[in-house]
Amino acid sequence: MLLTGSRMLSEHGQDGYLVRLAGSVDEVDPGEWDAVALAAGGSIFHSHAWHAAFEEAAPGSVTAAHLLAYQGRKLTGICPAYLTHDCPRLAYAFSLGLPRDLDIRGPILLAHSLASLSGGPLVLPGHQAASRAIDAGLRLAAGDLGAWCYGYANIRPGPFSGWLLAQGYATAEVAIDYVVTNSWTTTADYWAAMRSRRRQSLRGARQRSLAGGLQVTAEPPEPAAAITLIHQLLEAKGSPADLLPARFLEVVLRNLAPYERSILARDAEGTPRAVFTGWRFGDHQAMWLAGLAGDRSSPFEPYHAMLAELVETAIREGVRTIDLGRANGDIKRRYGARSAPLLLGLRSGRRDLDALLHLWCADLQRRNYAVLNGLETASRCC
Amino acid sequence: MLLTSAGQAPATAPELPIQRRGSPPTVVLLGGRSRRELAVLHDLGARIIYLDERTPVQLIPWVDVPLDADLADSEAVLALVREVCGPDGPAGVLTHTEPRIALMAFLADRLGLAGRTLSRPAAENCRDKLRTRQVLTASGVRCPAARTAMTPAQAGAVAGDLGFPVVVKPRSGAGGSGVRMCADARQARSAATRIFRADPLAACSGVIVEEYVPGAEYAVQTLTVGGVTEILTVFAQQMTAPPVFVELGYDYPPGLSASQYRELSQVVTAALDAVGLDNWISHTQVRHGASGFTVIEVNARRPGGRLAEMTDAVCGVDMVRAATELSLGMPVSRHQPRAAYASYRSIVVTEPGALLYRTRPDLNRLSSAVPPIVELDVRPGEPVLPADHPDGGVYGRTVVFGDSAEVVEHDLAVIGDAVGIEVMMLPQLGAATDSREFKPCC
Repeated sequence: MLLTGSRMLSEHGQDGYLVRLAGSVDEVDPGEWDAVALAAGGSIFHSHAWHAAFEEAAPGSVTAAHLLAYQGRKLTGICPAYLTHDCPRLAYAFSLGLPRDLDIRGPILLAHSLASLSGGPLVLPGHQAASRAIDAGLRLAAGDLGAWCYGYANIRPGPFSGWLLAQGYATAEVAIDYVVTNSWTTTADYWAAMRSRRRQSLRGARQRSLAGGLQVTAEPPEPAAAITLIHQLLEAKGSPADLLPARFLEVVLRNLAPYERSILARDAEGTPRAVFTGWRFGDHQAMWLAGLAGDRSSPFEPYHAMLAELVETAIREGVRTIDLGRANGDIKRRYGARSAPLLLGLRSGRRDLDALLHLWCADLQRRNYAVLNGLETASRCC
Repeated sequence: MLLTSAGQAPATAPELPIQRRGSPPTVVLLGGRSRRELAVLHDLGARIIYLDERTPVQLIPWVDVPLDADLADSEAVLALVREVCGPDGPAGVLTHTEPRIALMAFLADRLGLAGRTLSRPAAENCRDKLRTRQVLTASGVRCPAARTAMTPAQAGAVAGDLGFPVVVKPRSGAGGSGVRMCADARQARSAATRIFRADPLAACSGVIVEEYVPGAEYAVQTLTVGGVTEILTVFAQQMTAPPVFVELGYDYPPGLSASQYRELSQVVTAALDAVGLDNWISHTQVRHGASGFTVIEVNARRPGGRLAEMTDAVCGVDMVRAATELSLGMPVSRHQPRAAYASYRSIVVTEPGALLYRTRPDLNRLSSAVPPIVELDVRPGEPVLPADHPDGGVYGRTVVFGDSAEVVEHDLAVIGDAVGIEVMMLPQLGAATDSREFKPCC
């Protein structure tokens, strides 16, 4: 084979696919990588630019170990993955309570991170078997790289997650993502499809937000201002800033600038008060992070106006799915969002160890449900 | 109250390897109330360490070491088992009850007994109905489209998305409790509310809302060893009409054509393969509709009621014994079937009242040489509720065996006359007996 890059994991592969381990996303042409991601319906979190940023400045300590599936010379599947030595979200999840006998010393090979809103492999249409070859590659890579376990972060329920369950992966729903599927051609259609009482309620909330002089626009925020607002909201929620270090946010905002679809709220003086940072990739728009000035804004003062602006902008641009991110489900559902669980799936390959992973995942899932049902459990794993 | 019962077929207990060393194999038994389960272990010469939240007093003489433990704390149970069994550990871990299956699998995996029972992943895939559906769907096995709902309102919305009618059911559990067909969003919300109120844990894990699959239902009992699944029995199942799903009876043979039987066997084998069930028994419920066979539930346990006894009689494999033998790494023992036909009828009522029946029925007119099973779960005079009442259900069962359909039909009629069940209307019915409390399964 003439494939370049770090290492071939399997000369034979499964179903005729060759799987290669790449030590950096830079080993693959961005156009080729993104073509697979787009054809497979991936979001910004599978884009070449995102992973270039993640490799440069990810929170914690990770080493890129991406899995690439080829059929002949054709790249048919990508699975961004990282040998994770330290991840603040994963560390928090572990800190919630581990089975006593579960020894977590050493790295995990994770595809790819709890930080993003989607993970796992993406394969070209008609190449579903490539995802199974990638999974086999992930197992081999985990052994080669000295990972004590391996798996997938923030995958969504579907054929692949079902297949993982059948393979014996321990899984837990660790978060709920909220997604609007755009079936409207105009914003007027969107509002008209809503029950009248809800429409009036949401419009009223939006007007109240704007009545105080807020100006809400779809525009890229100045990075420093956005980072400040994001950190202020983290602080207000009691979450540590190491979840989203400034350096990581700077690199993400820089790298993903071509895809920028953020919403900014300024006060009457033009000072940024709140931000939704988001990007469009193909037919998908993802609103990843929120920021809010911590001095005097009430949490939901600009929220409705920004959410309405976000949905309207996405509809005008013909986006197919609008990912509104995690948390605040009660409000996001009013705007037409449906909940989509995000799953963490792990496996060690040792039956005795996997039993402990199942135990831990069952507990983690119970905690996630408890959060959804109103227990005041601070959660940073989602 | 057991009025009469078919005796279990005598089976020669294979010699245990460990017995040759002069010490009985130690088996950790998790929960259960059936003396039959304990009798099989005694028959195999096992030393029984019985673990439950609270050991029933009546079982204490039957076991060697009764231990009360918090079975929700898997690690504490593991530590306790290690402490009691010493460095060699137990020879097997076993349960016949649905809620303890995941713990059994966990202990087996941790104690180095993998391969002697189903794995923890397989246990999870069977116990969580949402996982079951995800796994089956991913494997191309037909099952109802399903989603979870965390609130009654969400249940109504999800039901609307799936299209009516739908079935709302707890995410885990057995015996059909709480399962209801819903024709509109209001009914779906109401059914979900009832589940959330009945089980606080359901508020954490949500309820399942799934498409309703009409069609004839079949109960399929299997034995899987070394990755090879054997269909033990297929019973044609009679149910109440929706909205509730109460089992009214089972018949063997099931009346399937050879090609239908073959297709059903393939579907069930594929389903068990998908969930990863191996070295264990199962009871799978399948419905035959316009688009073929659809898997409704995969239960990693013996069937409830007296279906295990019915399977034993017509196929020669006692599922209780089979599970026990598998947990000890022994070959599954078999005997000659004792009947070619069998019918099982649940005792249900159509009106609320007090249940009356003869406690010493005259069964001399029975045609079959194989003794029937006739048992009532309530004493004469106790209050009962109709099958379609949320607290109603099954209050007993009759199982008859024979060499022909005519013999079975005749004996059912004889038993019906002899037992003379009737419901006396009461002007003011007190608290009715919850039939589920008595259900000898799961």
